[in-house]
Amino acid sequence: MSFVDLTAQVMIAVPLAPLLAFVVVALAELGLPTPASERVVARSVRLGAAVALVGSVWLAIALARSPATELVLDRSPWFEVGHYKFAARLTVDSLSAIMLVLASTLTLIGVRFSVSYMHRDPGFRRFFALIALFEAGLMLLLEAGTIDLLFIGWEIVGLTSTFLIAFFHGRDAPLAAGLRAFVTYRSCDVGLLAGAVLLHHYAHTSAFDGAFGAGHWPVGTAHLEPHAATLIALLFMLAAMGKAGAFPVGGWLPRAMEGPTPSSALFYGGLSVSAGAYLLLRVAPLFAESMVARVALGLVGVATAVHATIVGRVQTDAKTQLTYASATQIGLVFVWIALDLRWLAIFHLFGHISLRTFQLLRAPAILADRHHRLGALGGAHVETGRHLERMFPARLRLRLYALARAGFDIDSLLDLLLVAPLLSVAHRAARFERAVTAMLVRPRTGRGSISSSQLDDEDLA
Amino acid sequence: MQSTSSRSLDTSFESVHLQTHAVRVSDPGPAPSIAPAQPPADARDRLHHALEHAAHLLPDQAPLEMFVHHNTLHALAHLPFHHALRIAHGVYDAQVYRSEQEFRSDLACGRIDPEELDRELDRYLHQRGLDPTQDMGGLCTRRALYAVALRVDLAPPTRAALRWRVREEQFDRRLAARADTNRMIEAGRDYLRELVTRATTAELTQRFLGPNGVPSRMGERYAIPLEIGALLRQLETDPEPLVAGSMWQTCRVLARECEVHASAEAPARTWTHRDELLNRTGRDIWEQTLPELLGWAAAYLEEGLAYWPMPGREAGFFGAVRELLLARGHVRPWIRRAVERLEQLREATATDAILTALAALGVAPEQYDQYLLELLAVTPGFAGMFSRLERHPHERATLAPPTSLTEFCAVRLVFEWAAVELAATEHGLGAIDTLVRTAATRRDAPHPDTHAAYRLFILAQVLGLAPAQLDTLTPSAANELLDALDTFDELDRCRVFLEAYELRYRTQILDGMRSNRPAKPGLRAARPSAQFVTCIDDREESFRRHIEEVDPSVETFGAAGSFGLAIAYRGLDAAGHIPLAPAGVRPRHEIFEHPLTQDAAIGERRRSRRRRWGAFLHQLFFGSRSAVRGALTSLAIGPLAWLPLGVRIMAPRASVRALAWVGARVLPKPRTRLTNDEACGPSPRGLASGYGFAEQVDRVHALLEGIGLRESVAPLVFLLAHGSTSVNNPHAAAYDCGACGGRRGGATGRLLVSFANDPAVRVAIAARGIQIPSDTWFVAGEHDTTADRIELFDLDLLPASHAGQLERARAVMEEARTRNGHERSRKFEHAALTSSAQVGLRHVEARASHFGETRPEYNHCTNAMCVVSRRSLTRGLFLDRRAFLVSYDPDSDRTGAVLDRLLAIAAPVGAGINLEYYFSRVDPERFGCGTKLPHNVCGYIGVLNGTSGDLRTGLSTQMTEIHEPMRLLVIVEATPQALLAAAAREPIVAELITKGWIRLVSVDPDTGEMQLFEAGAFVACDTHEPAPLATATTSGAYYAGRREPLPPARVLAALGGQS
Repeated sequence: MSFVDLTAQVMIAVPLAPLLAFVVVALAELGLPTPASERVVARSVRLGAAVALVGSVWLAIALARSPATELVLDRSPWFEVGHYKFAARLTVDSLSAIMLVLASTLTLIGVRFSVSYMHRDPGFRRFFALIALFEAGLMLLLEAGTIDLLFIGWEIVGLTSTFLIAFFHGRDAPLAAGLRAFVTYRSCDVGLLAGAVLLHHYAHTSAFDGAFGAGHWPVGTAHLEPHAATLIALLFMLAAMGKAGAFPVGGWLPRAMEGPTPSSALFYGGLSVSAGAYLLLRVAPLFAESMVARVALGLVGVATAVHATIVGRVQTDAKTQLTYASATQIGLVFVWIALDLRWLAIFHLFGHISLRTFQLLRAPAILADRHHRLGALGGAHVETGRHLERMFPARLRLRLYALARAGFDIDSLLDLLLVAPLLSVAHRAARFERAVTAMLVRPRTGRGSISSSQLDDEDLA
Repeated sequence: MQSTSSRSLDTSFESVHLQTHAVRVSDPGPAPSIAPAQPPADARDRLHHALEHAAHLLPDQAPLEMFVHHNTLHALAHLPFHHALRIAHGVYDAQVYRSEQEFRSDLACGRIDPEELDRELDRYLHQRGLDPTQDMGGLCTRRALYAVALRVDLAPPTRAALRWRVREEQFDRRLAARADTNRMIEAGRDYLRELVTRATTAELTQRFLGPNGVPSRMGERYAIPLEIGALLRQLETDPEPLVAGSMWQTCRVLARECEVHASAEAPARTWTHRDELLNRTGRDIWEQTLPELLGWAAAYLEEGLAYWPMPGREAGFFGAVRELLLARGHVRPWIRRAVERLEQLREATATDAILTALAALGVAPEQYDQYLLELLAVTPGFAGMFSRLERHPHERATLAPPTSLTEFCAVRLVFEWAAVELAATEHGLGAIDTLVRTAATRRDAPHPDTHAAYRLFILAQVLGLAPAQLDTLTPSAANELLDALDTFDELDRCRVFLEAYELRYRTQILDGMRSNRPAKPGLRAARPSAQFVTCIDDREESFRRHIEEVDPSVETFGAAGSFGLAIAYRGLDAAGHIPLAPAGVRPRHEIFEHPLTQDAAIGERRRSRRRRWGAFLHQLFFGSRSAVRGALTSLAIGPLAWLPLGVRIMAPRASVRALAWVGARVLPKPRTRLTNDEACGPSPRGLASGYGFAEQVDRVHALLEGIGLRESVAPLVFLLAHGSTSVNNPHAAAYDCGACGGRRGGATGRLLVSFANDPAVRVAIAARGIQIPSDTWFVAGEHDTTADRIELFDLDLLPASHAGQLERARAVMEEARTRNGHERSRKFEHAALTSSAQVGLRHVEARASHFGETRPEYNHCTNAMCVVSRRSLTRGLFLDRRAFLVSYDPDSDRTGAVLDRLLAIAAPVGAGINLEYYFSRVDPERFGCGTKLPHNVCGYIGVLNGTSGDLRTGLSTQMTEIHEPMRLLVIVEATPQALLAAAAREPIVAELITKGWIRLVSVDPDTGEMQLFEAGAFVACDTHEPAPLATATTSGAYYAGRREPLPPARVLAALGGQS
């Protein structure tokens, strides 16, 4: 077996292994008369994650030793629709290699953590199935050589994220939070879909190499007309904003901590929210082409970082505080991308993800940490937030604090300006439709209108 | 206090009847005048009373770091147990017993004995004054009916469920399988054959298709046409569907002639504006107001978690929230309305604000109690925390401002007012002060099929009634049956079940003790090689047993883990003083740990290095969460963060060891001593800075006298306190020593040992009658109940002569901890049952250091009894880590003073733990804090589910999942007279006993006679022949391969091999 073939197989195996783990757990759930034991479920998912990790490391080493700047598996054309060609193309370059290794390491850690953390929970199997599916989606997203494959991975990540936020479906809050995340994802993913279509349209390919031909990551440049580059870049930016919880659509992110601790850590400590930044890094050549897109991205990044850091400072619970800290750093990564500092962005992202995952997995330890910290300080009190007092007069301070507590009412404003008008249009449309239906269809008589007690008798007789 | 509470409770339960509040006319305009129509003179008093009433019923949990177990239903402790549970069921809308289904499966597997169940049923009937032999509609006696109700699920289904059972399960065409089902079917066939031949079509329709039945459905139902010939043929081939169907339809006809009423009356509650608005508009105003309210509450209460603390907190919660809301413009309409109201209340105090809001909302002073309770009980966590910290200000962080339930209530009410007003205006509902009323929640009239026919049909099958007998049943007889069933509702059935469940356990335990009790319980062997005094904690039961098994020549004792001291203690590495004292006891002595003079340099180095480390951690904590420093942290240490995370999670035990190794190198630990200024000078905090000589003598004497150690004191006496180690566990304090206020013990024993080793103290104690030989040495230590590690203190003081003995004792402890770890691991599903002792120990050690472990240990889970006795009663008895063991020697306590002292601590502490486990287990969502998995620490004071909602109180499912909820069985080796006298002197103990919150058994010290306290008197409970006691050589041999709770057994090794 040649080296090249082996590489190709490993590239396929990396997303496939967790996918198989998911399929095994899901089939066992559907097909077995008694549910699979925790042991079997956990072992399958751990095995899948371990294979993904070994494969990722292997790919990273292979990439480092290979003279080429990227490892490619291309089975194109996959299929064609009219003039649009779709390629089955996986690519591992330095960007994806770094992210693959980090993502598979953290997922394996998260899975091991969950084996004891989720023990005896009624949703144990569901949790592990979703984590495996998430990893498969993420690996595909990172290895994707075309925007179409990336889109598939992207959607899997979004879907599992939604399900894990709403993991405790017996209570209302997780469902509402899951729904909010889902709606935000769906709305913003319009950007990715439209961007992909336009990329096909303008570049006649959806492969990253083809679209951003000359040079390889991180030095690629795009060959698109400026207005096309701007449009596509802005659309991708919209998608990235949704996934990353950027300003102003980030309202779902702090609410997303309703799920179990390990999934919150994996998704919102880093990996899932960083998918947005990864997409932007992937299409960074587009941004390099378009000053408008760069300015827009820079503004979004700055707004996200400033908003999140101010709001984060008044948060009173461990996990929300960490989500805002996470959003702050993702905002800064956006800024680096806007400034075309690609290597800085990737290192910042890497450090941020692993630090935040660490902190979120340890979030329940925050009491013990404080105890330890105060003990080490020997009881000396360290004031926090003093520079707020130095910088602002008292009245302004009150105002800033009150605004920060409400997250500057961004969500309320969105509800008021966007959601409420949309809903009201929808309601009116529904009323109109009902009215039209009523005109066209005569109301039914007879069986449809029997009283409930008769119905009941009929059923029990 | 007590009278207040009972009065207030009564008011809320007497008002079951509908009270319609007089409608008052007010201006319905969008901005009604709110100039407070001067509230009635008594409104303030009423409000005060209402808040007290609410505070009483709200959860009483301290901030997490000071977690101490207490009776979840402390508010109802003055009522008899089952009565209190019934009330709690109504007030908190909570489960108060395990489900009937669980009890029934216990009955099926033998955990509940059928005969004992019937005996408890008789007792229940007797207590309720019901006649067990009363005839029920000519079918059976009341007792037989209730026995059926206990064993068969007669709960009325919903109509949809009934429909499902009829359609999909052929519920009406099959008879439940019983011994005499065939006989029933045959009798039914003969009867029907007779009947069918001379029936009209209408009669047949009614018989097989019920009231309103139509003949055309016959085929669908029984696959035959409604013809006499077809029916007769069917009766020959397969009569069961027709027999069952006719019985079911007879029941349905009968049901329509009965008076059907709901089997359980819904509890009364106040119909608030929110309910009315929800009902009329489908929108819940609390979805708007509660997140806002709770956000502010968290910000106000938090103790340093937020980087920017809430400004203006000194003004109180109401004032601070008012200023902050007024400081900015708002988007959400209801908040804008709230701001308008707050503007008008600018100068008002919290109390005035409440009264104004209540008046505007149209709540009359008579309704305050229920209305405020209704509102506050929606957010029991935060409301309870405001109230708790108001009543216990010393539990508040030093720099945080004081709290008050009144202030919380003021914000709550102003928000309520604004939201109600706005919603009423938007939906044109008119004056808001007409929306509130007190009413029993009305339920739909129950359906005759689900409530009567269903139960009659099942009863007919269970009682073996043939269709002929069913036909003779009159509606009044059926009514009588159904009414009798309704009287015996689910709570009553569960009460009988619980009593039987407890009885089975009690019988096992008492039988075991009777067999185990030596003929001369007061007889002690010659001088033991060593003595171990541990905490009374149930987790030490197995540890003591293993020590005795490893070396039968040692003795063990149990004493409350504070060893009779109460100190404000500051350890070498601590941030400040913590109280080491039982809950409710305020320390009057302040004790420090300080480095020895020779080690002062090391101590100083440690201190300064730790300071720098602390400053670094502080920077890291807040820095990593900020923007610029966060970016630097991400770039500098972020890229490597996965490494320690991975190592800590993949190899928890090894990594903790490595960290400890590094820690010991980098932070050398000096030898230390505890300060104790015998002159008792005042400390900086105004406490005595030590125990004076007389106090020292008192304390040592009290401990030795209490545990009955008056003679043959061993050369080495160990005082082992305990604590627990867990990582990533917000509830860690709940795992520590309850007698030390939810903290690690250790320091108390260490201090007491320093007194006991003082020759002058020994002389003084000898004068009081307890001889401590001069070659005896006391050693203090701490047992880590999670990792099963033992740390001994001040060994550098040990006389050289004892070195050999210490080595021997250490070897015993090492072996005992290994076996103890192994015994504990059998309860964890992740530990293999076949593993060796070493592997078991490693398993529990790993639990103590694993980030992803939600069950570092099972803590007090499965606790069930408290034994106050000489060890001879329990030595060698395998009690499965379920017993609080309090050492007590009745022979040397002629006055009963020692018993008083022991009961006053052991009974409330044990009952507090036991009842908190009970309630958290039976209703994990209302009384417990649910599953731990989404928990999120809020403000360092409590946990939330996810990031929103209320603080969760109580214990998590992970802590209580294997608990068997029953009341604490307290077994005391004392005569009934001595116990009654002791209880008479301790009102708290008396209440627990007489109201049945614990079950008390007296074991006569001389004769061993056992009597249970029941219904106000002691009754003999050892009249039967005890079941033979299982015997095993060691504990390990007994429990090997089994995870479930085990009945007692006699372990020979602990008795020195004697049988």
